[in-house]
Amino acid sequence: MTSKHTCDISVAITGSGGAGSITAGELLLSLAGKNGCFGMMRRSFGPQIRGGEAAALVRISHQPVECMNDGFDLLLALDWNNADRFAEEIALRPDSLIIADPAAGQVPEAFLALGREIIEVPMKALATDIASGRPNMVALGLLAHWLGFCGDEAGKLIDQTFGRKGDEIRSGSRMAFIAGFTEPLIHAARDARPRPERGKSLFSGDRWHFNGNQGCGLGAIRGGIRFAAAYPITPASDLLEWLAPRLEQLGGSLVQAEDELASINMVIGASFGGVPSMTATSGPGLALMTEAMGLAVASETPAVVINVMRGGPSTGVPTKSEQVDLNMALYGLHGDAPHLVLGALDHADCILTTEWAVRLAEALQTVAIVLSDQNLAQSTVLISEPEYQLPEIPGRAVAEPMEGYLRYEITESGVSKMAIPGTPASTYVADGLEHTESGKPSTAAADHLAQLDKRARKLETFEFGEHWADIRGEGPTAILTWGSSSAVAREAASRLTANGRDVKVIALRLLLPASPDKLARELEGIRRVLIVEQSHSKQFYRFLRAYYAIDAETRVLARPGPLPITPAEIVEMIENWS
Amino acid sequence: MDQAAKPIALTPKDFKSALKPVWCPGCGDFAVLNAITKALAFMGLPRENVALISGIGCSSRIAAYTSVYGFHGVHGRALALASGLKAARPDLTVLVAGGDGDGLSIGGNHFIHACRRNMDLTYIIMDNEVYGMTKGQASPTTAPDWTSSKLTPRGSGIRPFQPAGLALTAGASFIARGFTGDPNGLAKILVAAMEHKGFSFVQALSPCPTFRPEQMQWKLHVSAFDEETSSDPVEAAQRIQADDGMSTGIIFRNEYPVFRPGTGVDRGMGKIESEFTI
Amino acid sequence: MSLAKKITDLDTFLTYSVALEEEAAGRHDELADMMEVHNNPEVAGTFRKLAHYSRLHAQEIRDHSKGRTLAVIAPWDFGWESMEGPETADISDVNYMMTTTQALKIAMGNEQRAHDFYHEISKLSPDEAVRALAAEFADEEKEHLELLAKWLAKYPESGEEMPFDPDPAHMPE
Repeated sequence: MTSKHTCDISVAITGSGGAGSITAGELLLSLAGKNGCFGMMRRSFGPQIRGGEAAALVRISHQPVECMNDGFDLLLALDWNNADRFAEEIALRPDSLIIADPAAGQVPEAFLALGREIIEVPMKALATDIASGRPNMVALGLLAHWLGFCGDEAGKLIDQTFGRKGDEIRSGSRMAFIAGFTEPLIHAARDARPRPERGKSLFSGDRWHFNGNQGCGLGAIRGGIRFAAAYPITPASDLLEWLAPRLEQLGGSLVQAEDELASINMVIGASFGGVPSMTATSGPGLALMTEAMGLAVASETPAVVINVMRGGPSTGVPTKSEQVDLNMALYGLHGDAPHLVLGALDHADCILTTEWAVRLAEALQTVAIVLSDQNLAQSTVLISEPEYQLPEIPGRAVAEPMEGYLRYEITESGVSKMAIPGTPASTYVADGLEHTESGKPSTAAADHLAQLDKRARKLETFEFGEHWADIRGEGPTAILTWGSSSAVAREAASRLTANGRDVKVIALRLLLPASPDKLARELEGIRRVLIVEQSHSKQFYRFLRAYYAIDAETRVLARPGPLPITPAEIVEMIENWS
Repeated sequence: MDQAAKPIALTPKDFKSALKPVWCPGCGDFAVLNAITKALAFMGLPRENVALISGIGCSSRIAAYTSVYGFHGVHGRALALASGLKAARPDLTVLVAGGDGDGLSIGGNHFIHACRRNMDLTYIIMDNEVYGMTKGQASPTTAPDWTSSKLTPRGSGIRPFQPAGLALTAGASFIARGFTGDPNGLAKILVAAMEHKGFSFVQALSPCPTFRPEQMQWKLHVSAFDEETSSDPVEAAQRIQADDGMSTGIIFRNEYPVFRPGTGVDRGMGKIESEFTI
Repeated sequence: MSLAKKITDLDTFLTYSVALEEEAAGRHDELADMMEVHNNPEVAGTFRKLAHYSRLHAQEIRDHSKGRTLAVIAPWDFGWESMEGPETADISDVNYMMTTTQALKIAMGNEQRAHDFYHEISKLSPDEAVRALAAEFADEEKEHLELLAKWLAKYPESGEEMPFDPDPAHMPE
């Protein structure tokens, strides 16, 4: 949709050694929000804890966006130290603009290209002239002006952000911002691309500013989680940090455990006690938790494990994203251990999927693994306030005090009532050992079969409703995907549709149990299916082959991290599909 | 435990389930079951307010032989299960039980952290210095020259842990040793352990007649500590180190801060739903 | 001080006696269960019978205590000379392959100890009524011993050693 109000601009800000490029990027995104825009910001870092090279990657648009664009319109470098690291992530076009500080030296070879306009602004010098002025605030001013943002809003934002650091820093930051905002060199920059109109937004209603980790946390709380036990791990730690004070506010708690083994077992213990409980981790932690997740399945104790995927295998690429824990989530439990696996499709979906997972885990008395990824977790978005409607799901089936209570009673639905400790007469011993209906350990064939059937049946016969997938569009070609690739696929699909190629995007949210009949219905009449995933070994494709029958002609776009899949890659693959 | 509740007139038998233990005749664990049920009956705790959490091993089967709530979890993680349960349900009396392998080998990390965390739990290790369930391997409390295991035919060659010493260093606030040959003495220790606010560790010397038949002689060597319970960790450390590991009694007790996560008070959603709005 | 001298009144004596017999009964039942689970039905039956006799004796003593308020003593406050009551069989003395002979010998040892307990009280307790009742109970234990001896006589002699089990130990979990 083109109009003078439409804009879609991607800006990269790099800097090192405490330059504050990330702060500048965050402020830029917030400023965009204040100016009626939507947007998204990712971060990329060197390996240092502090003082390393860092890049803030920001996309600003008048329409909601949920993924990064193919490339960047502008790169602002506060300095060039170790900036080569970001060269492959910051794809520049010949018509991209580079703003650099002449004091930082030559623009590195990696970023140069024929015809790229370079504007040199002495940001450091400008900042030095101002007491407590910093180059990154000068940069923010430059960008704010170039993007057409309102200066007053910026002032308020700066006050909010730096207010606590004292008056000198606050006013120094303001002044530095103004220096950049009013810098003649940026006024002279020419750009044909439409810029955000001040204060105008095409969409009414509230917008939200949050990241995927916070979304999962909120979903968990909405679902009823009141206890968490966890061990810090990148990139899940900030989810836990967001959750801890809020659980306490709600009368619950988060316990930092000694390791992931303790975490998942604490979760099971708390859940056994009647409190919906969860943990959050990443690949290496999930691997440690597999035994206990089996215990949750066998003992039929609800538990939610949010796994924020990162580059694997083993220690892998901890600060980057990949969709490579699917295999472990699906198949990692020993024995025949049916359980729930869900994947959040985008930032707003982190809330929905996690809330849904909690409610399902409680109703079905099993473990729900929620797969998020670093891409969603640690990128911030400005989107419309998420709205969704989950189907009615019963809460945990709780047993009354009764004589002759059978914890694992064979029922038609497969769900049997759970006695909460404190309930008289209905005492029982939960067990990982196979058991009779009363919970007494058993090796008898009939008991094992009956309990296996029970645990499988409760999932297989449950009606999950329409949220099993997110389906948009119609067309002879479908993109079949999951997780954070979904937003990329949707953007690619809207570009293709705009160019006359109708594409349907089917993003699976519920991975286990599989929904072969539902997918078969959605694929009726579809001639071509492109499977998109961020995995070297095609984990999603092989899962589809195992559980689903896809008659259409199939191709796979499977690429590992660390670079995000771009809409252009998907568009190209479909356009060149002869 | 709710001090105001009227004690219920239950007998130890009321705390046992209908399941007949499959422990070998002669096993010390029978006495532990008796001691636990005697202690619970003496304290008059309603069965539904007690939970017994166990791991994997012969000793860990104990949960199924009681009529309180229980969880027979995976190997080595009983303390984690119990800690989560106690965090979520501070109103319950939570007991944890298992063997020396379950608690000090695979469970070792959880053991030291449970001691340090000092939640109000009572943990009983039934120490028979062997892995009974898996047919007799050396455990972390087995002497280095015990050669009866095919897995370590020349003996482990490694000095064993002294569980009480480990607990003391890790910060446990109640440390006791009992002996299954004196089930009443053990029951008395367990009452004190449960009444203690904080992490109570009870090492119960519990002979294994099948894989360590020589332990049937323990009753000739076990005797009570001469000294009173100490509240000084230095004194307690000396007592533990100077002992041959077979003396019984409450060795150490002190009031360290008890870990109780959360306040239990729901202050409402507040800004949680609105904090992301621009 | 000898335990006997501490039992200075009838209520206390009755409390001790009931506890003694009930503990013995409970233990015999426990041992019977163990033997049942370990497929030694003959010895299981022996222990069941012994449990039955202990319970009968306990009931007799309770009948004797009608109208009286027995003391409530914590299990660890009895101060028995051995770790548990004198008639209580020691769990560590049993074995899954034990013979009836071995079981009965253990029972006889228990009865002897119970007899000695009552006998000492009949001599040393400061209370006359206690001494009298204790003497009665001591006589009863003597009768039990004679019964057991007759029972034992029906079985072949066997030593301390347990019979040989050719199967190796099994790993159930």
